[in-house]
Amino acid sequence: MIELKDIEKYYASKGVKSYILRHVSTTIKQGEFVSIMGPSGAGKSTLLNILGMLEEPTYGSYSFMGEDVTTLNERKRIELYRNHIGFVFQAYHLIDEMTVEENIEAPLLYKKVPGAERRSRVADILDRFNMVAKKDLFPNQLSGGQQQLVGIARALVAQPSIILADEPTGNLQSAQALQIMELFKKLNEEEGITIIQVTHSEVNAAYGSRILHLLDGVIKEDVNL
Amino acid sequence: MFKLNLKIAFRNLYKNKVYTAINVAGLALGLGGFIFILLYINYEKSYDTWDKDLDKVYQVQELDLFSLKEGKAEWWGESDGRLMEMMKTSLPNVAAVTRVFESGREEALVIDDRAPFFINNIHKTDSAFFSVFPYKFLYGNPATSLKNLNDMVVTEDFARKYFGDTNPVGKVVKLTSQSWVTPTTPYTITGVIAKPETPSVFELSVLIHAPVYKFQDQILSFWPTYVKFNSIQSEKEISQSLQKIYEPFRAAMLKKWKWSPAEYLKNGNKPAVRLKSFYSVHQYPLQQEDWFTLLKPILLLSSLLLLISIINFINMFTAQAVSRAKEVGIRKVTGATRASLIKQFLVETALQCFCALILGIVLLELFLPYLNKEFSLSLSITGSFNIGLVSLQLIVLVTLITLLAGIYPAVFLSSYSPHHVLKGNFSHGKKGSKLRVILVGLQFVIAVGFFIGIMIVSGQIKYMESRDPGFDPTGVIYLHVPMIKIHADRVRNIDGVKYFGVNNGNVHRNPKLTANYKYNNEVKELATVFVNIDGLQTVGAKLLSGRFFDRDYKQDTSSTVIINEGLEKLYGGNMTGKYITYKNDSVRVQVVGVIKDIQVAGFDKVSPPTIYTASKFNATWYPNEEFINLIRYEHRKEKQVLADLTKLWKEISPQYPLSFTFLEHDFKKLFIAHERFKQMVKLFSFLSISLSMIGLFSLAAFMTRQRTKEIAIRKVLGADDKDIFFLLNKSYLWLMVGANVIAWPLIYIAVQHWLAGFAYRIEMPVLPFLMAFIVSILATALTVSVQVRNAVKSNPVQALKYE
Repeated sequence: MIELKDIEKYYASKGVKSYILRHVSTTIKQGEFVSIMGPSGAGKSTLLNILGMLEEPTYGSYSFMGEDVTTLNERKRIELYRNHIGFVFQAYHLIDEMTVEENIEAPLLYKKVPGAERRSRVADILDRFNMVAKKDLFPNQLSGGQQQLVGIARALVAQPSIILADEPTGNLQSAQALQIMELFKKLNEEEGITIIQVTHSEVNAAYGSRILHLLDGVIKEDVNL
Repeated sequence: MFKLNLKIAFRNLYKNKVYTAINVAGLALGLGGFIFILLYINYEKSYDTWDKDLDKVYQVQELDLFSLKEGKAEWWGESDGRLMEMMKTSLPNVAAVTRVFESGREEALVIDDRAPFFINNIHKTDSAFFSVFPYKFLYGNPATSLKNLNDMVVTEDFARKYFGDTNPVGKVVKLTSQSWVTPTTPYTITGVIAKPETPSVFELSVLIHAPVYKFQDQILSFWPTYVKFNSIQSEKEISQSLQKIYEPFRAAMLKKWKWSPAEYLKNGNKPAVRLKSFYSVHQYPLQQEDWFTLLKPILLLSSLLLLISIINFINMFTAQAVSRAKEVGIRKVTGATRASLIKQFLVETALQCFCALILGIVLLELFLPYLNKEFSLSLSITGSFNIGLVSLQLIVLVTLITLLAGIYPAVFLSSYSPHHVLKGNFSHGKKGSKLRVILVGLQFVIAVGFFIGIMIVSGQIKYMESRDPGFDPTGVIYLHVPMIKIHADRVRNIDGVKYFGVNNGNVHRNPKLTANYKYNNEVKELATVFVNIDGLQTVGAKLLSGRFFDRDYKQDTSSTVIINEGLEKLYGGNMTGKYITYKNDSVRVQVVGVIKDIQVAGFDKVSPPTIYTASKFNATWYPNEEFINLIRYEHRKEKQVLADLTKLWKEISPQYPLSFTFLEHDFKKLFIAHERFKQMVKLFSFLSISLSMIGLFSLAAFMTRQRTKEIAIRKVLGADDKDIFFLLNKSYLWLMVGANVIAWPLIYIAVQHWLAGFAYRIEMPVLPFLMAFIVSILATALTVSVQVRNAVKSNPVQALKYE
């Protein structure tokens, strides 16, 4: 599903190149649950951003579902966001001015899903996440864990084939973190959604099927669990 | 601390060069306009304050005995000349009494053997003038100048212009008041006075000691009279003392003349006099609007402009809030109090206001020559006699604006709590944005108003300029002194002259003659215009039916009239051939023609229903003497005609040169005031619209920056450029719709009011309102989109980073 070849990312400042990623090559198959680990500054987030096409690599090639997406035009990228990729952020990044329900509905609006189906899918997902009672609340009325659940619900509602999560539990207490990880595992196993998460936590990583260890921009270890 | 604040202020302003420049430029424009008004107010306020002794001078004012305006008698600045002697002898504390009035006509002056030239503001006065008005003398002696009849005093400007640097005292010049009528009189120059430091109601160049008319029975003569007392008086007390002298005098006079102004007395008016300070003569003029009333619209316009630029300032400053938040947080953590932060931000504002002030003054200085010329003023910033006062006013103004513009941003910026700001992921929320939206909305209410206003004003002026005035002003001149009959044929014989006529009511002379006419058993008082046989053709009147007066019809000089369209309508249509009577049916005249209304006074007022007569004996009390003063000539022979006419005139009147006006110039002059008003509104419209655009731009910048995170999220959720674009534009478009809806009724009322001042006006058009709507929506979309573009093109990663 994902194929990275010789991905490099560096910033050139005053003639000195500072590398974030060097010679990253890997393949991620449909249905995998990959955790990217490594110390701060190892390039985890950058790698995830490249996978999510939020950043472009300086060098190398990236193909997503058999298509070369290394340099992709805006329209095509938005198409991918709408249909295949769901993002989950450490800081949740819900829209403050929208209710829970509206936040979840947003991707469907952009996907131009008809009204009736939109409502049923939102209702469905609210139900699945046990959040029906909270649908009219605003993000700042929820706990961090609940906000992150909304964030995941929002990522899922468009029925993506892959979820990219940047430290999804970084801001959460361990009990809530566990809950989120369980959810990821379930989604991965029951629905076959590919999940790639960046994490610091060995515990979280253990939920996945594979761990990529990054150090100074290089994949040091690729462990299948 | 202050020095540090100033240093930081400078660095911050430098860092945001573009914003600072726009801010300062906008404010400078607003301030420039306002300083202009300030200078103007100072100028008007300073009238006749050039000597302390003027505080002791009072003008004598008398209630008009002869006519009432809406049932009330009016005060006039002229009073019965007989009062002068009475005041000298009977009022207490009087130092001197004088009279002075402007000649009101062109008088020709001959110096040495040079060619005569015209002066049109000769002031005629008596020997006491300089006892009342303490002018400074450059040459001559105030005590003896103007002592004798035919003494003359000139101003320094006049002396320099005609005598160079030599002392003109002792020179004899020749003055001719009017051609044909008065003989030439020699005058001796006895003094040269310095120009006073402040403007004055007397626009002096030449003062002469003119003869006093001997008072005859039944003759009233009213003069502007001024009394100087030994000390400053209470207006009320001296007015009462004067009234005590005046009442028996006037009563005795009316009784002697057996004349009782019954209608006048009926309304509870009684003959009265009063004394008003000389200073008030210019400040509260009688029978005309005082300067402040005339200034009001401009004051309003420039205040609006200043308001817009202050709003901009507030918006721009708070728009920077995002980049200043961290600074505020850190300062607070390191021990700054909120008060000290507010102080710091105010210093920044003050600095910008000060720069704006300097720039505004420079701008004004650049445009002042133009403005002075356009409004015939002599304002100046630096050469001002009251530079101290001006500086003080400017300091107060800048302080006021600093507070007005600075207080809100300062309070807003200093309110950030360090806890939130320093956490890193600082979101600004919607705090304070509502006020800014309202402010920008307000700006647009003003801008939309101006936009609609200027379109309608232009429409009305264009309409007036293109409307048929009912006569043809091209190729006609009128002589300021009418030619006497014996020379008329010589003028007619000049090659190129088509008509030599008179049109007394329409052009130049006696415009307000009326008489009673009877038609259909109904008596009406109608405007009556004297013409001669050629009079109507001379002005190019347009015949609607019938014929013009003609030499071939003998009756045209005794028993026919021509009427205008307005009168025909009043009488109910088709009047040609019908008869009108007057003087109790003793005279019967036939209407031989109907002409289009002649709009010689422009389109402000309706041209009244009018009767044109070429008869010497007519319905009015005045004989039609046919002082011929209008010449119509072939336009292509203009040069030749004027040269011949000048030559002819010189021959018959060597001491008094030919003086005439092109009718076309006069007619165009009617539009100058409107045209000037249009230019002004145009300028203010342009400034207010561009300033509002800047305001909108900064608001959009601010709001868009505030929403970067939201935009980024939406983007990764799959929103495309179009969605974001629409999302961000939407609120501004609603703002514009709101501004339009509020502006419409306001400007409708204002423009309606303005249009009501024109008798001939356009219908209130709908197009400007629609245009304003469309243009404001388009302009908004464009302005906002420039900002939004950046947000749309930006990479969401930057906004979503968690660091």
